[in-house]
Amino acid sequence: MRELPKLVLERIENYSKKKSFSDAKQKKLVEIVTRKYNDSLVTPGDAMGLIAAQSIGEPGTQLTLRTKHYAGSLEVSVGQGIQRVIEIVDGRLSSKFPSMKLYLKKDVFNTDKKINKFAKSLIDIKVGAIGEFQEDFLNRTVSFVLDHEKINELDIDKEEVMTLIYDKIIDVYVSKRFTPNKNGINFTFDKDTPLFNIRKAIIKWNKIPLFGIKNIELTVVSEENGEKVIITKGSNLSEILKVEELDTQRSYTNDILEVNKVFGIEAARESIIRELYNTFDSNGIDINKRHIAILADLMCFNGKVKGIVRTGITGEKSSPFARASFEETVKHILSAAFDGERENFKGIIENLIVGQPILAGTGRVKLTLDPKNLKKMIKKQESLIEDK
Amino acid sequence: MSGVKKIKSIEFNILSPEVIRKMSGVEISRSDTYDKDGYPIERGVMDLHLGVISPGLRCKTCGHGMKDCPGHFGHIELTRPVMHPKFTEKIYPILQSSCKECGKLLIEDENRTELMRYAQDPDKLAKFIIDTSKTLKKCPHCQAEISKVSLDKPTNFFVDGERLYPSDILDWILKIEDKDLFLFGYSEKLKPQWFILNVLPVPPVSMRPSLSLENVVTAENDLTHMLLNIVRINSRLHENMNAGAPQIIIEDLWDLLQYNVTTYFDNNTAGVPPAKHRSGRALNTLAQRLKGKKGRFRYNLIGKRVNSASRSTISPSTEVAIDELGIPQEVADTLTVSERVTSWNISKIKDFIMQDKVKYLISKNNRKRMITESNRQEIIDALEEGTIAKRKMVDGDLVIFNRQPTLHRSSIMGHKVKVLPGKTFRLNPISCAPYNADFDGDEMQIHAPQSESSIAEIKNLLMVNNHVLSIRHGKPIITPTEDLISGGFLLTKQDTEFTKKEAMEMLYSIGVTELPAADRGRGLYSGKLIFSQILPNDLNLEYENKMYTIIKKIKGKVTKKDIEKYDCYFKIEKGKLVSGVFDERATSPKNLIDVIVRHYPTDFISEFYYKLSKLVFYALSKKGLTIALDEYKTTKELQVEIDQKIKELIVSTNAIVKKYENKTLPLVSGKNLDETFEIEMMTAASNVKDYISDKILLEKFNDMYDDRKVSNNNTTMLSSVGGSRGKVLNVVNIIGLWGQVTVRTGRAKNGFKNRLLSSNVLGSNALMDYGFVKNNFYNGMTPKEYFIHSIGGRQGEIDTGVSTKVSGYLYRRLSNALKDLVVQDDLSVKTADGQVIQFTYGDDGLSPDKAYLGKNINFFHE
Repeated sequence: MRELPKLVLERIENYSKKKSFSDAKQKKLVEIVTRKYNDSLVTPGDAMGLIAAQSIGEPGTQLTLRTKHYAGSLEVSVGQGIQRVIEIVDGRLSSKFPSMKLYLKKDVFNTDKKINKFAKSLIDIKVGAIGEFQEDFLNRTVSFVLDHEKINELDIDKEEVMTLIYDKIIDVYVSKRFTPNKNGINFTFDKDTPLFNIRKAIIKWNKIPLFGIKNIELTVVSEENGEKVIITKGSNLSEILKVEELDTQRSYTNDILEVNKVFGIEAARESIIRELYNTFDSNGIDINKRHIAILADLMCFNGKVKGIVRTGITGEKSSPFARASFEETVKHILSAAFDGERENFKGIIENLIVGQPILAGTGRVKLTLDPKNLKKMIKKQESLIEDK
Repeated sequence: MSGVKKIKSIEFNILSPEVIRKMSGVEISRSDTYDKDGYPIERGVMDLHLGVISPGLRCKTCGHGMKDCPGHFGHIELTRPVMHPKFTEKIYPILQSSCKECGKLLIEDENRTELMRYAQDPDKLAKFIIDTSKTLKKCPHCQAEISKVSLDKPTNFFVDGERLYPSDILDWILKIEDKDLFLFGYSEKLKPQWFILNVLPVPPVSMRPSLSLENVVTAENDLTHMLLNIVRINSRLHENMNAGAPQIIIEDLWDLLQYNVTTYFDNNTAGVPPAKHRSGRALNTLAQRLKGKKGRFRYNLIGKRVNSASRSTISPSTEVAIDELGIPQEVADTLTVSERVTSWNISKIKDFIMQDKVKYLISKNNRKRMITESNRQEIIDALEEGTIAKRKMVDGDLVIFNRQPTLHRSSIMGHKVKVLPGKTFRLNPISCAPYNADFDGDEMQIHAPQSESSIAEIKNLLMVNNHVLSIRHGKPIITPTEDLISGGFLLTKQDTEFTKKEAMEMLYSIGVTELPAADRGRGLYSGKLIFSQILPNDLNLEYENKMYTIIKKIKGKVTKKDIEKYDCYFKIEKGKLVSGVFDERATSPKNLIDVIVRHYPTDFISEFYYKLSKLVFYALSKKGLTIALDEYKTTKELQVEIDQKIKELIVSTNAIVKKYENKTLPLVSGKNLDETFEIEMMTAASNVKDYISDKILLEKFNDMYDDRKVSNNNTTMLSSVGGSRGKVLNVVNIIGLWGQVTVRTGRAKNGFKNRLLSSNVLGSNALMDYGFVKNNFYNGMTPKEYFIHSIGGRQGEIDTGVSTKVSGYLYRRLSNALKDLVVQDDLSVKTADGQVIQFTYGDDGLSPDKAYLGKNINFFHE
């Protein structure tokens, strides 16, 4: 019998006090609860890993296949359905749907307009996004022309932009820079600059960041429990943490590897559980968190996020048979031979292959009926009955 | 089982030429198989030393016949050495980092200590040596020029552009000292020169049997074909060399030998054309035999064929309980179960023998004895304890029942056999859900257990009763569905009453022999009273019915009067149903089914379901459940309103279109004009549909409780409100409108340039031109609407096809990675290698199916 957790014992005590139970009654209650607790425990020997895999894999067909937008939703399209599940389970280096949910500190902004402006200020804006470089190869001049529509949409001050660009573009080949007027800036190159270099310079200039935070492509202001939150497309946790206006305690990114990089493996594990659970939950699929937790623990237990792929968890098993039976059979057998590996038949699939009982469930315990002892016992019983 | 030997471990290694020769039974040198009489030719690839595959012959190595000879290896002595195609990449770094002349590593002695850092990692070691030797022009040991080695995959080496033949490589490698080879991971057990093959093992014939029809060999195995090729080329090379043929011919033959050896190992090697059969089919060689879905591992080793199994179509029957299975007489007579005769069952087994239920007996000293008409009585008289009776299956025997795809553990469950006439397996429809089975032609398997321990496992772990709660989420999955729900709804409805005769019939069918007192006027019995008879006496329970939620949605809140009027609060007091109806909610967590499963003995649930279906189907057949076309008619006023709303929608969306075309549409935060337009159009369409749905729901709902209306017994609404099948949305699609067709991310877009269909006005962005269907199923759609509607339908069909594939692979990966995780005695979770994954399973040690909604168990429920 396993003893009750302290918290439960405390709760029983409080409950008994409230109901003013006698000591004997309380003892009886503890007894009942202990029995129920032990009945509810997982059975040693259960292959809970496989059950977790079944629980996650079985409803896979019910997941939506592609990213879905719902009518009128203002949300940024976050990965949903099977694609997102596969992405998390793969433990890939980059996410296809990075997104953050940013909470604002209380009383920093008082109007919606200010919040909207702040949200826009987070967007990563590069020079190429707000205008265009027009080349004049004959005169070796390049002029930058602003895209007014875009500027209006992003709510940026034109003059400010121009000076910023003017300050930021400094290039060895440029001989003269004209002060910006309302529409653009002109750059003149040395007469003997190769045209190739001008092109190269323009490509480089287009990528110069002006405002915002790197990788944040889009921000949308939305509401959650009566509170304004900013949802972003693209994620940059380490930079967002430095923004003063944000409540960094609650702000959240769905990019697991970024969480791992910034907060470490325990946070990444938590993040995997949360992301997987939410993905299934948003598709109306109920999976107990214990199943997802065991998967997340397996992915993270070595201190690095490892994927459930042929190069990840399965590829690193010590049993050559276990590896060969999954994928790349020939490669694993050859490497086992080259390295002189030993198959110890500790796992499930290895024993299955050679036709031996597996070391899980009822195959893990040994119980044999001794016929001699049985006969003795039967005789004992019979004599007892006769005595009576 | 005692006496069964266990494999403790297997070591993987590479065969050295000495071992190959040592274990060989015969040297193969003739490129032949059988002579005219079909007798294996000596020293041919089917030599009798390699084992026997035809009856009547004896193996020349072990002397056994076909049955007992396990087969033996032979070998081919290759005239010229060839590379092992799979290990050239292991040789490459050695050649790159050693001197061709003296065999020493291309590194100055003072730098040698640094090499230890990369020991056993050949690739990094070679890279390090190459990097450091770049500055060197000459070998630091013998001052020879350093030459550049390159590998042309898979097998050809070049040194400074000149071909390096396997014999040259062999010479080179033999020069290298052991202490240097050690750095590359070689030892006494593994030498690099073994990768240059002088001798090739020939697998036993039992591994590559000839295909024969009536003792005439008709086709040889693919491996035999490959071996024939190798032997033929090898002897041709030998002859040419002895005859002193020109170098070019010898080299050609040598390359051909290399090609055949390469394809013999792997006929899919990159850069090498696959070896083909005469018919043009690529041959299946060693690598192909092992790998992939149809390879040895996945096809034969992980999935094995079994005996004592049977497969048939399934069909429904409520005469079998959820944990029973009706099987045909033929199946019961063919499958056998072993039963050991003991003092407790000896008379039973004698009866079985009498009834011709026992096929044969196995006596204590392992002798079989068939039972015939003539010796029956004699056997019965002589029957003694300890004999094993192989008998046919009878009612009550346990079997395993399974349906593919076996996605989770409840796809395989234990059932009690019930022998029934007919040829199909009879399954209670309630237990369909975990198998995901239906009766449109599905086939399923049964497996008969063959040992006492497997029967015990089925009885204690596998039975359907143990799997009513899903381990995935801890909610019931084996629950009443469809007919049982609507029938239960009908049975427990407030106005359902039965006559005394009916009540007696119903109660007798569930084994109640004492008639309770009538609770309605004129000696009638209410459905609720009848239903209460199958409830346990000590049950107290209450929850909101589905109707409650609907009323809440329509009216905003539910008053006591509403509860009384609509009978929508389920309440059981001491095993008596006081109010409310049996509906879909009964199957939700913490409600009726859940409570019965959790708090009563495991067998109680199957009994409950059995009785429930008896009552329900009686009620259904007495009261009837049909639908009428009238149910799908709306009042004129509502029809007018719907038409008006759709007209308004078209007007309002036209305004949006105008704004969009003028680019004056106010943008949604974070979206551009096109996206905003899409969102606005979709929102407008869905708002109207929502409005119409609510109106229809309200009207139909009021109809249900309006006695003046003919349609007050609206079965469509009844099954929707009860939750047995269909939603209000389906009713809306029938009598309201279909609404906007969506494909993938939104409205259907891809068609022609600037229009969806060729019949649309070019460039028009109007609502109707991009897949809004304003008609419903009752009135019928226009051809255009019907076409666009099918676009949405087709997308769903494609998605199911693709997603089964994608999720199937995800599942395979997950199960392969997670299958070794087992809960230990201290409730920690460890891998097969003993690495700890969790210190306590799920951090609290609780089993998912026993915890409510994933939370800790509610200890205070009782």
